[in-house]
Amino acid sequence: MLKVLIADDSKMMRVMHVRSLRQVGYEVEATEANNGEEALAAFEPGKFDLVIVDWNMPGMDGIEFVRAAREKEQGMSGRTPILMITSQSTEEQMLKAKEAGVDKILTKPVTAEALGAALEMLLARA
Amino acid sequence: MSQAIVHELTTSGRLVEFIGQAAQEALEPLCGVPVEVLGEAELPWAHPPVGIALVTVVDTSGNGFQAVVWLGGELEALASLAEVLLGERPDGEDEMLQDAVRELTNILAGQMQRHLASAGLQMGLGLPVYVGGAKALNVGASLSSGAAVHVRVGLPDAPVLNVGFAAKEH
Repeated sequence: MLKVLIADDSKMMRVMHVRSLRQVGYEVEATEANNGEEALAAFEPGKFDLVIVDWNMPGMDGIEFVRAAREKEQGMSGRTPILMITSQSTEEQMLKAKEAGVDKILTKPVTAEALGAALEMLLARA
Repeated sequence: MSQAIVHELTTSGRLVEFIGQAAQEALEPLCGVPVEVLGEAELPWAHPPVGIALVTVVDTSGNGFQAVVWLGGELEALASLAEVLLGERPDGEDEMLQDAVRELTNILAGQMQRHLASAGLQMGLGLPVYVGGAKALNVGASLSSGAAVHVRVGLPDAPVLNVGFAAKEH
């Protein structure tokens, strides 16, 4: 069972991410968050196998959430793979996301196959 | 500088190309069907479609340049699109439909961002806003520089959408 935290202000995207993960063969237990604050309240080191986060969300955005989540992991062994799925696509933004602690970035629209391939890479690395 | 780039893109016809390509890149992978660019359309401010979402894009160099990217359509067209993405048809103009239109516009804006970067415009994206049932969108003359296209999504009822990009005049 893949325990995944999905933070996206679009319900449609949260539904589609879960559907895509199931489509590529994962059994999913999803915790959903509407923004960075909700995601941070749900996030605990070691609790999830994967975090999927959007960038643009009202209130705390995805980058702020990732920075805060990585701070929570300070001094802990291991870190949760974080996959950012965003519409932002410039090189500067990709670099900013990596610096914040994002492990992999996919640009929307994302197919189930692309999500599956990214996940395979992230879980193999974890 | 940014205004000049948009002006050049508009007069050369490249802006229309960018919009059509961005719509195809945003919608085809999600809907799993081809998207056909039908041709140039009027800017939607005077006669907006029943549902429309807009994303403000801002020049990241800090020169104050702003523009909007939009996606809109009649209710049945938007409902067909939402249905194929969500697996169930929204009940009228409910939150599910609005969320789907906002998110599709966000994805469209991301594709536009990439095309504009290739022309020298570095833009950041704002959050999408949905406007439903407006008789007119009161943008005055401030968003008169830009282009719109009609696209048809290859679903059974062939929904047609109005998508576009317009720059804010200083």
